[in-house]
Amino acid sequence: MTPLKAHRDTMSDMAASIPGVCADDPLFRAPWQARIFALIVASVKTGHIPRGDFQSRLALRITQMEQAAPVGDTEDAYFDCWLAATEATLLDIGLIADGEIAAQIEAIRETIAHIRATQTPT
Amino acid sequence: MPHDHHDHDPLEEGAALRVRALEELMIAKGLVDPAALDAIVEYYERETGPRNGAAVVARAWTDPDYRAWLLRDGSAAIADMGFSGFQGEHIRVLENTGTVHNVVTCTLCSCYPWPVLGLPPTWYKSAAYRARVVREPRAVLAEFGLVLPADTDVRVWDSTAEIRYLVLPIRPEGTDVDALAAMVTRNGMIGTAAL
Repeated sequence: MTPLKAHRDTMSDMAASIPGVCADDPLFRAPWQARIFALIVASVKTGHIPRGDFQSRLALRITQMEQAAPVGDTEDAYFDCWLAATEATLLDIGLIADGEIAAQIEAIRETIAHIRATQTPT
Repeated sequence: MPHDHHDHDPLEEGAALRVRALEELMIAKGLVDPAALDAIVEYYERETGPRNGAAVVARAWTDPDYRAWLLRDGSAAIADMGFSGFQGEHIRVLENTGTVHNVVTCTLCSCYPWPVLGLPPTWYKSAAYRARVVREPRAVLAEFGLVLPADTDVRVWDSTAEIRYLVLPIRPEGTDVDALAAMVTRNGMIGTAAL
């Protein structure tokens, strides 16, 4: 083992000894976390969502989550807040109307049900 | 039982379904371009990360003029290395010395210098870290294995949507830039580790 490798292994071991700490955390734990992240980055970049509008709602959601209950899984809870803040921002600035998300979810469910129905052997 | 394999379909999980619905709505309204979303995910998963920051730090250690520029105007000096990210927030670089140790947090949410460090690790987003590092930085750093001398001035920096911080760690022994860059760790650039 080279001194450099030993050095890096030691650093990793130290980080790994702390609860909830992992030296090589994956950036996203689920594809949806990457998608909602990208959705906001793209919307801020194009100017459709003012960054401050989203940021303030994200901070509010995180504060509310922490006050409501101890956090079990930080990573998932964090992206849950990200999703809630995204929906709130889109509704508040009028890019998405009340009920549109629920309608779209229903449309996706119907599509999935249809695909399943056609693929399930009878 | 023909339906068993559906039980774990990710499309049936609440969050995945909601995100897909949001994405489809925004694409249908012409608010986002699906190819742009793919490019962003690709960029953050593959192109950014602590090695970008490590390259910046190693150059600063070996080039006094660059170091001075980096400390004076972090955003411009970092952009000179090709790392500018997507959001354009200002990055300020904080130099650790024999008497001053800097550590970074974001008490409100999880603001982080993404272009140079990638996305924040789980612990950075945890309530425990964010709340405690401001109140008792030495105790938190000790839990990371970093025990600082009593006379070291510990400075905690709270990130915002507008200003992100990157710690310039104390240079370890060594002269080769690539070897130095390989010794720079993510935690070293947040301030929760020494090198």
